[in-house]
Amino acid sequence: MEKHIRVIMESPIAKDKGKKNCQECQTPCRSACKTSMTVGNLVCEVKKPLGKWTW
Amino acid sequence: MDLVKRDWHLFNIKGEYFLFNSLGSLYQLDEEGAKAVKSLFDGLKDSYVSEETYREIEEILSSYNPIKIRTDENLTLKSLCINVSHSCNMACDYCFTRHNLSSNESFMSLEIAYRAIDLLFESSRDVRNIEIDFFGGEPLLNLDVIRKTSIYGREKAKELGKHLRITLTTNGLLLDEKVLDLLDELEISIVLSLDGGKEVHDKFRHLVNGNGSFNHILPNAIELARRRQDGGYYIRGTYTAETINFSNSFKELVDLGFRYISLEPVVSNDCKISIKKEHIPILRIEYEKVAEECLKNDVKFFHFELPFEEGACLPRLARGCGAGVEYMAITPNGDIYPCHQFVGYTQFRLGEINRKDIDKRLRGKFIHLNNIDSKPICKECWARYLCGGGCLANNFIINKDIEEPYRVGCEIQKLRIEYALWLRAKRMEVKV
Repeated sequence: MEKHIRVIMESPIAKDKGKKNCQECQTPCRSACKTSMTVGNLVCEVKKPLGKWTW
Repeated sequence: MDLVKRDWHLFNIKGEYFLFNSLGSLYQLDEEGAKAVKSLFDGLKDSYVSEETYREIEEILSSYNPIKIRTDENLTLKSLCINVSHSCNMACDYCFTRHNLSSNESFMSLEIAYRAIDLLFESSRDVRNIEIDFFGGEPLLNLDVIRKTSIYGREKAKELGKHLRITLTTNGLLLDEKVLDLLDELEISIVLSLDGGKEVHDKFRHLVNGNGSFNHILPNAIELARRRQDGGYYIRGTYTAETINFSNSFKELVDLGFRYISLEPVVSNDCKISIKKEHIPILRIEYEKVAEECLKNDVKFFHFELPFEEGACLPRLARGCGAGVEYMAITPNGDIYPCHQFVGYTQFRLGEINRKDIDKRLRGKFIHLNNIDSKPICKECWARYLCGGGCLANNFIINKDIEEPYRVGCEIQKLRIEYALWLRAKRMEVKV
């Protein structure tokens, strides 16, 4: 039978139940947006430590 | 089945249907699957959709479980916007600082800049990653303070085992090779203001004498991009109602060789340039063109760069921008504001750096509004964990109330998220 719905991406945050934020990620409205902030752009410093640059 | 609309969003881009769950799952549907979801939204089953299709869709939808989010964290200040200069060597028509800053020349002293750094290190407690952003006016007019403050911050970070990131936002006029050498050496990320090609850029971004600034800035911007091909810069432009076809600007910037680009809507009460509800259909077309361009070229458009798997955890996504909580702005004379956009609106002055006395009542309000669940409209929105609840300063500028959402901004945010999700799907080359 042909599928009518297909998964592109599973929720990456559904497993964060009860988790506490370590506060190591950046603040969202910092530079490249500056008037148009969005938390979706935040990178987790634990999962992927950023180097010397802001992005 | 009871489908909770705040948790699901069905959308169509270029004839393809997608279903997004607010916790970040993304699905692609065919026509019949989309009909099934639509009818479940409406609470009335469609007789043209088979029961087998409904079963398949309901199996996916029922897999979603709402999550209780911890909001008991004791948040610390970890990011400072340091306005080292309220003077500027340009006179852009739409600059928000022109309306709320004194016209007097104003530069931050080294003493105040050092105190700002001290405040950040003291307040950030055991948070390791902290950041500062040199802002203005035009910060490069106070280059010596930038240099000494950065060195002071770097030494202090080394001593205390912290990681300090530094960013500078500039109009690029003074960004010559010598200045770039210094900023490279100090590892300062750069945001350079450039709206697009010459015609669009010069429409609003003028020199003090009224002439366009494009020809003065472009060589500096090109050299910046040449040096930093692996990152460390963003070209940041503004589009307005008069330059609404910003996808053309995006293409021009790509053609000029820039790879890290952010184009933002102006937020203004000036009806000539402000973005209004009737512009949204045009913006949809524009964002679609930008997304298509990103798919063709290896270009990063800031709002389409959602890291998903490597992104922030849910407790962080359930909070806002952190203005007045994790993030504050310091003026040249040492006044403390919740963020760079509130500077000059004295009712939002949090304190003064020499006295270190933060207005607890005002800060408490920002702490309260930093939680998505404290915002009645935002907490019912499917985009809440990618948006974070919008910009409080924009709410104030447009509605004179930090708690009243700037609705046009909400619509733009949702558009950007839809195209970011579409881009994600396309990049994964997933097809039904």
